[in-house]
Amino acid sequence: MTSFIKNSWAYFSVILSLIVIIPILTIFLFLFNTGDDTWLHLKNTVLTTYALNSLILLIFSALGTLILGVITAWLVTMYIFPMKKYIEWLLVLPLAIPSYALAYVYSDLLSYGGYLILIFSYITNYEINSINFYSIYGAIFVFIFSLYPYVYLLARQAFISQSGTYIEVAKVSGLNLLSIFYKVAIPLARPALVGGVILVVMETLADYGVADYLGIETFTKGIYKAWFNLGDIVSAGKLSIILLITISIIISLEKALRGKAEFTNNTRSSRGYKYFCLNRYLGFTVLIICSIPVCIGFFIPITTIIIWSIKSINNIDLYNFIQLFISSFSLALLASFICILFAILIIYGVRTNSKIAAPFARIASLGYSIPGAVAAVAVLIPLAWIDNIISNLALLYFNISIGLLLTGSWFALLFAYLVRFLALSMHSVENSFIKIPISFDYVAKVLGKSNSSILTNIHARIGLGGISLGLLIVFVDVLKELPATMILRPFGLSTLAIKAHEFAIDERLGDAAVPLLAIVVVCLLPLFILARGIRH
Amino acid sequence: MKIKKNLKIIGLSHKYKNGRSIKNFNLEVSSNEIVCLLGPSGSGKTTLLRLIAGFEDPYEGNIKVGNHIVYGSKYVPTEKRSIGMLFQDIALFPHLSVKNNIGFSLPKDNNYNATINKLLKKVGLKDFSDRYSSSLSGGEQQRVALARALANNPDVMLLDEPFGSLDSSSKFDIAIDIIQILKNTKTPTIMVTHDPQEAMRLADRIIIMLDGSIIDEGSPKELYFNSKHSFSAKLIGPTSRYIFTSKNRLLSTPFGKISVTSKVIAKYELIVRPEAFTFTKTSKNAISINIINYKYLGLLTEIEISILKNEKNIKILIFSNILDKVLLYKKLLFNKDWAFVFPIK
Repeated sequence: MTSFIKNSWAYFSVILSLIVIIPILTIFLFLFNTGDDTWLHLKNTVLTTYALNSLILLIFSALGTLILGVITAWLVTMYIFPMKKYIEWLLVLPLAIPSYALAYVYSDLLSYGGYLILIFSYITNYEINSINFYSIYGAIFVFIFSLYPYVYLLARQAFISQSGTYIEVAKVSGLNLLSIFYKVAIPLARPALVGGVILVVMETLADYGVADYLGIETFTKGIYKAWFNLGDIVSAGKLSIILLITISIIISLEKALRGKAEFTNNTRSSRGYKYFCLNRYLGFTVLIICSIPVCIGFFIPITTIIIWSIKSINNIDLYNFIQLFISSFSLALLASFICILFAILIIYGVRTNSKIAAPFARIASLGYSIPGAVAAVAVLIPLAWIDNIISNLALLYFNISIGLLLTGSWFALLFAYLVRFLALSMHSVENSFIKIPISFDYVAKVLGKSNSSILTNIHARIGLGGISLGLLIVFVDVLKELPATMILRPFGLSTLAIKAHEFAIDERLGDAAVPLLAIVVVCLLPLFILARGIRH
Repeated sequence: MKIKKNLKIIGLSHKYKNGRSIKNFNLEVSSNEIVCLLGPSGSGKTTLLRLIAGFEDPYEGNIKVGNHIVYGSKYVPTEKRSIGMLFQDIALFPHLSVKNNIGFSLPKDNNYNATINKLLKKVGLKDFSDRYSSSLSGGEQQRVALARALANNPDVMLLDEPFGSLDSSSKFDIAIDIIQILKNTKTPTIMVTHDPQEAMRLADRIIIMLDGSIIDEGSPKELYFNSKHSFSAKLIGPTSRYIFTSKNRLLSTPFGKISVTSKVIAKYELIVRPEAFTFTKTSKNAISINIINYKYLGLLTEIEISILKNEKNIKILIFSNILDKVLLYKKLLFNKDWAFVFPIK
């Protein structure tokens, strides 16, 4: 009993983790379901296409982002060149533009009469009508230039934290800078690089907007179609489980390949790498290399979206736009508050007793590797079950038909967001709580404070920065989210992202621009905070 | 009923998963007493404090703080045990001012400000009320932490290497001040340290721990003069150490014969304090030595000597103030009272 009282926070943390874990586990039930004709049909016709397309996207996006992210990170870490202090954080900005927005922009700019085609023809004097962007190559291009900042950020951090001693040792061993790059810096940064690439892979596999707009059949699109067009939860679940297993295999494979190798800095020196000053010619070359991804990933799309917005300003139905804005914001705000509340309680529970709570918290935080469409299916299953029970009971005892209470409600949608985005808020909260020495908890305890008092008076106050960042990150991700919202939204509810996507699918890119611009502006907010961190 | 400030631990046992444990630990600390737990890393000192504070639970035994059993027939959670604690990393809350740190556990009633001012005065930081921990020195921070720990008038104070993070030049001044404040408040105190100097200077009683058990205890003087264990003899002061095998209840050492109690032939550890060696020019008991080498260590000097022909060289520690004469006359007198013999198990 004493142990139960003492560990009550840890047990509470376990319960909260289970709320998130249970839907994920229910997807695994589909492993044992043989499926009906629809599944057999899907299996015989499109499953190979889904697998092949997803695999091609995954491999080339991972390779492209790895090359782009590592090269830019290495250049800004090692060299001094003109405008370096701006380039360093400008390289992060493509994260503010949703991948699907990049797809809309470049498919238009590279179509017949598109600006890029016109400029290309003008400069080269070589006449081309258009470039077919509606292909898997277009999608790869989009993913590389919108997702490379994940690799860039982690690689840059890894290079910065590597000890200068390693370079000195390599130099006295006769290695030149290029050899040091691939023989020392890259192997040492491997966990960070793999971490970045895994984020890219997850985002690529989770994507719905780009695949739908460019007409590529992928798993996520398949899940959406199985549920919406065919109304078959079993097929949607089976596709989800294949996606989940693929992601698990990728993560496990990396861990297995890493083996027992250690990548921590085991030198006593905290000196970082020494910057190399480049001459004017080389300095400008590096500046151009680093500016290319910023231009393609941020400046060209944002300028295009702004131009579209200005052109279509008269077509805006202000009342509808305000309604969209309010529903998107309230949804994102509610989701971010729920996620951060769960994260705070779970992480604090882990802090009070990590043996009991940590394993569950770890599983709950796997949610981020689950694509939005899978999270939606995962939430649908237990909620539909509960709905049926409530409905049957109401019919039995009160003789009234109440229909489906939870599925198709805000509750279901918020629950799916919780499953998908809890990991993000947990990560922020954990990072800020970990910096609070455990002796603070002990001091407060011996001074007679309860756990709730310690949480509100110490952790919530000292960790406010991390908590706010966690709120902001989830807010932005919910604002951009497409597949889970499309599958679970209550009747009549639309968001900025959904509206923009619907307009884009209807080839009304001008009308899509204003909602897109609203999303980008909000997404820039956390990036500016991140950029400030980079500058310092 | 008047609350009696003391601490009693009976038959306390605890085991970690890594095999380290505390075995059948008994201890009583009375009001106004400063007890120091001294021992190497992993000897169980900090674990014992954590058991008393309630951060860990033993699997058997009783803990009584003041008049109340807090573990055993009753379980009292940490926050209700009436314990004060100081940590090595001080742990002042960075988001609170000095005043709010001290008042952290106090009810915000009419006495709030008066109590804080009284505590600030007690720790000698009267004008520091509105400052934040980042603007305080290590010593000042530890004084604030002490005021915070004393705010609730605890029945027992636990100090977990609280002076470890202070720089050595001011460490003892701050430590002596803090100990004096604790003595004035008549708070029974247990301090953990691995620094013998700190223990000798601050404690009324030193408990030496090894592998989760008490191997020796006593006042600093008792331990120095009469250690019961070779480990505590070596820990508590400077020594020279030799190993000899007994024969006919005697150890034949280069310094003369030393008797042992057991007649069984066995190996013994001879621990000799520097006080054992004094200079003499005239005594007939003087030992003539050949000096091979010496190393000046400040208060002490280590000399490598040979005494008998065909014997191995040995190293001894002597006080540096006799070094010149020993080098000149090459004679030493050995006092057996400062030599301790322990059987090697």
